[in-house]
Amino acid sequence: MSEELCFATIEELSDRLARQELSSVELTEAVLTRIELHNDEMRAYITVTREVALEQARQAEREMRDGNRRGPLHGIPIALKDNVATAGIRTSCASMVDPDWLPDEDATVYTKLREAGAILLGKANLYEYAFSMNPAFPQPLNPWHTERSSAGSSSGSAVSVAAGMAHGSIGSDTGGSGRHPANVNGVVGFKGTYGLVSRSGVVPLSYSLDHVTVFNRQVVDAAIMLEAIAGHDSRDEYSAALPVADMRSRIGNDLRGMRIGRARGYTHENIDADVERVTNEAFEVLRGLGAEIEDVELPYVQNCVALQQSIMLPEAATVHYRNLRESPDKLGEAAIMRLDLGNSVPATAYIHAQQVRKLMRAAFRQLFETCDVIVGPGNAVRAGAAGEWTTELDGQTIDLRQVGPEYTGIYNLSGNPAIVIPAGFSSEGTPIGIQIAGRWWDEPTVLQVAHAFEQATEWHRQRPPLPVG
Amino acid sequence: MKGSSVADEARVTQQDVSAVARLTNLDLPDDRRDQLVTTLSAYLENMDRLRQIDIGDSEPPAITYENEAC
Repeated sequence: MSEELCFATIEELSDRLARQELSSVELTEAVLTRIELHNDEMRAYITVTREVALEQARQAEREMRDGNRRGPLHGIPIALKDNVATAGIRTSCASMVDPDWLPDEDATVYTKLREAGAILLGKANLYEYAFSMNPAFPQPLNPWHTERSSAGSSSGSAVSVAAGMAHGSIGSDTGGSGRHPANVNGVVGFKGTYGLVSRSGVVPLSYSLDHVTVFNRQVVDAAIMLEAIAGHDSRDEYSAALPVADMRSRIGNDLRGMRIGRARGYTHENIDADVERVTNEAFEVLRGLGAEIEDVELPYVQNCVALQQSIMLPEAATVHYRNLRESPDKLGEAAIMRLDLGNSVPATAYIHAQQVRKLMRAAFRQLFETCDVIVGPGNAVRAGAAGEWTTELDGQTIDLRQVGPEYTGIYNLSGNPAIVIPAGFSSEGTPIGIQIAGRWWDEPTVLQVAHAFEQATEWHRQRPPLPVG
Repeated sequence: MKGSSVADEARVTQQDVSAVARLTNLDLPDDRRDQLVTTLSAYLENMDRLRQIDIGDSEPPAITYENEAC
């Protein structure tokens, strides 16, 4: 019974909570028990906020009993990446620079989730400052295969959902930090259009590339969470002052006549036979649902590594200049290496990259006149070895940091909404996902396609073996 | 840079890195200088390719970022 509760969807639980067949306290206790059983080995959470969660759950229970239900997230247990500020609750950013930081204010995204009635289970593990693996905070295990990577940087956010230790979670995504962990841990990971969700209170990595991501077990749940956190916030300079779309407005619509562009042009295309197989099978499903599929060349895709380096690294070096200067001994080795490079990027290179980015966005605008969404693999390769930046494939060494920007970083550069959803498994039993990107502010169409695919398959219903704990 | 020494192939020198350290007011110990020689050389090769993209004279950068509906 308890396991069933932990793996239920927000959609199902919300309905049961609304009908008072289930109490938020009972639900929260079930998930907290699972976290107690498994977190020491899974390392999904850095901090578990047991007392906060139970107090919030009791309040939700009281409010619902009194007929004051706030909405579909009322009473639902969620996790926050530990770079999301929570007033009075440790926010470590997985770094020894200030590992016990107690923020004065909540991040806007947490404020909105609290207002929606969500229950905070704890703060999820991540790469140091969403940037680099840090041995001081060992990475979470991939629940499907403990010797394979859980990816990053929002690894704990994805693992908590995949392992039944949260019903939804929040992460951040600067070049794929949300969608890569979703891809290899078999969950939904969705970042909306740049400007849709406020980053205020989310410790920045790269001002012009950072997005907030939601992680869930199914597409409808992602739509529910995104609805709760979207909207203008004057505390985020780049937050858009636009009305928020009804994220569920197209869910359930079929795909007949939908024009899908198949993403092409990657430097490393079809290098992993399992990824190629899963992607081809996914296109057959989409075609069977009535979509029209044509190959499209992603604009400037082979420049994404240079663009990402030229923009993200100097922006990150700006954020962390003081840390690098005053306490480099407290930063992980990998972070230092990338920050040093960020400090060395010439200003003209940064501006040139931002100019190319403008051309890229113009090219995407044209491309989306010919198709409604763009679909492709979530990454070039399956999950690599745990704790490694590189992976071996057919005797070839692939540096994941040289591949990811083309697959996921491209939509951070362009700002288009992009979702990764489960689409199959590798021969090693690790999940493989597909990515669906849409026009700016057209999250409903992205969710429509993702939901139609999901409902035509069973991948999202699989559960990891979770052999530990 | 795989399989070769920094001195053989690096386009950036220790002196260049020292200059960067001075300009950015950072104290770089030897191991970080060595690492930066390698990573900066690789980055500049990527940047060379990016520089080949003709951006014209009047394209403002995407530093302020307003996505339009399309």
